[in-house]
Amino acid sequence: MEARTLRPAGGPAGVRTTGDDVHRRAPGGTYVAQSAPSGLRARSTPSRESPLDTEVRPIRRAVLDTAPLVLGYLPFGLVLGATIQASSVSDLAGWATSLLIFAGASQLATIDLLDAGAAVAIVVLTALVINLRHVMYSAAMAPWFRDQPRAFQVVGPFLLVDPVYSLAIARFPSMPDARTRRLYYAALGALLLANWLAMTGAGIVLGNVLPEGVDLTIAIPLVFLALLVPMVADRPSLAAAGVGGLVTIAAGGLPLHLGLIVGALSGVAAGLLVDPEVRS
Amino acid sequence: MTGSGTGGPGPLVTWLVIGGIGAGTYAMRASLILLFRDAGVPPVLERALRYVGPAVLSAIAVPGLLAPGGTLDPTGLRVPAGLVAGLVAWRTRSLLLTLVAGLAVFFGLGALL
Repeated sequence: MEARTLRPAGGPAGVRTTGDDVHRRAPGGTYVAQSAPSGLRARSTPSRESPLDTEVRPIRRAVLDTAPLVLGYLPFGLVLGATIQASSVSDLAGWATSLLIFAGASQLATIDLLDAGAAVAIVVLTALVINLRHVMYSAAMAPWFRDQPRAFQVVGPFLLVDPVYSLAIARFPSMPDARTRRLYYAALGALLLANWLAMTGAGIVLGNVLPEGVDLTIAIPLVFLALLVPMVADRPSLAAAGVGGLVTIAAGGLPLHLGLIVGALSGVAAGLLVDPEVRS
Repeated sequence: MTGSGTGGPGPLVTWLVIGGIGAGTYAMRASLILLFRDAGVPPVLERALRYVGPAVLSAIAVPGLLAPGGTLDPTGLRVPAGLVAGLVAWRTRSLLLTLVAGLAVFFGLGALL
C-alpha cells in the first residue's frame, strides 16, 4: 500500500489498476482546482495522491460534500420543524419522522395530512407515492452494492436519500474499490442524517425563526439543479432532464403527488428513446 | 407534547402511520439493491439507469424554479436565478457556488425590483 504511488506502471497487475484509479480520481479535485491559482497546481498535485488517501479521503470527501448540502437544506429543515411544532402531531413523533422516514417532502406531507385529520390510508399512500423515486435510486445503486458485504446491503439503503444517491452515483465510478465507496456512502449518509435531525429539531424547538417575507424555499431546487447539471452530459441525458422537468410541471394536478414519479419515469423513457444504442 | 390539538388521530395511530411510512420507504430504498445483488441488473434496465439521475433531479429542481407552488411562473425571479445558478453549476461543478449565485440573483433582483 505504502509503495503504491512510487511503483512504476509496470508493477503487478493488481497494484497497477489501483494506480490507474488514483489518476482517474483527479476529476474529484476540480473543487480544489477552482479555488487555487493555476501556477500552484503542479506542486500540490502529488500530495493529493498520498497513500493514506484510501483511508482518509472518502470520509474527508464526504465531510466536504456535506457542508454545502447542509446550507441548502437548512431552511427546509427549519420550516419542517416549525410545521411539526405547530401541528397536532407530538413533537417527539414529528421529530422521529426525520429518523424513520428521512425524506423531507414526504415528512412534510405526512405532518400536514395528519394535522388536517386525513384518513390514515391517504396519509400513508401519499407519503409513499412521494417516495416512489427511491425505487429508481435502488435500481441505480444495485450494481454498486453487489460487491459490498451483506450487512451493508441491508443497512446502506436506509441512508439512500436524494443527495446520497446523487453524489454516490457521480463519485463511485472514480473510486478505486468497494471499501472506499462504502466509507464514502456511509459517512455521507450518517452526516446528512445527523444534520437533518439537528435542523428539524432546531425548528421544533425554535419555531418559525426564518424572517418574514424572505422566501428561502428556492434553496432546495438550487441544490438539485447543482446536482443535476453535471449529469447532463449528452443528448439522451438532456432529453431525460428536459422531459422529466416539464412533464412533472404538466402533471402537477395529479392526485397523491403522483406528478413527480410520472415526470421522472417520462424522463427516463425520453432518455432511452433518444439513446442511439437503444434505437439501433 | 401535543400542538394545536386539531383533529389528528391519537398517539398510537400517529406512531403506527409514521412507522409504516418509514418501513415502506426503507423497503423501496432496499428493494432492487437486494433483488439484484446476486443475479445482477438486467441489461435492459441497466441502460435505463443512466437516465434516472437527470430525470429525477430535474423533476425536483425544474418545477421548483419554474412553477413554485404548482403554478407556472415563467417570469418569476426564480427563472433568472435558476439560469445563473445553472451556468455556475456547469462552469464550476461546485454546489456551494451554485447555491450562492442562485440566492444572490434571487434576492438581489428582489431588492432591486
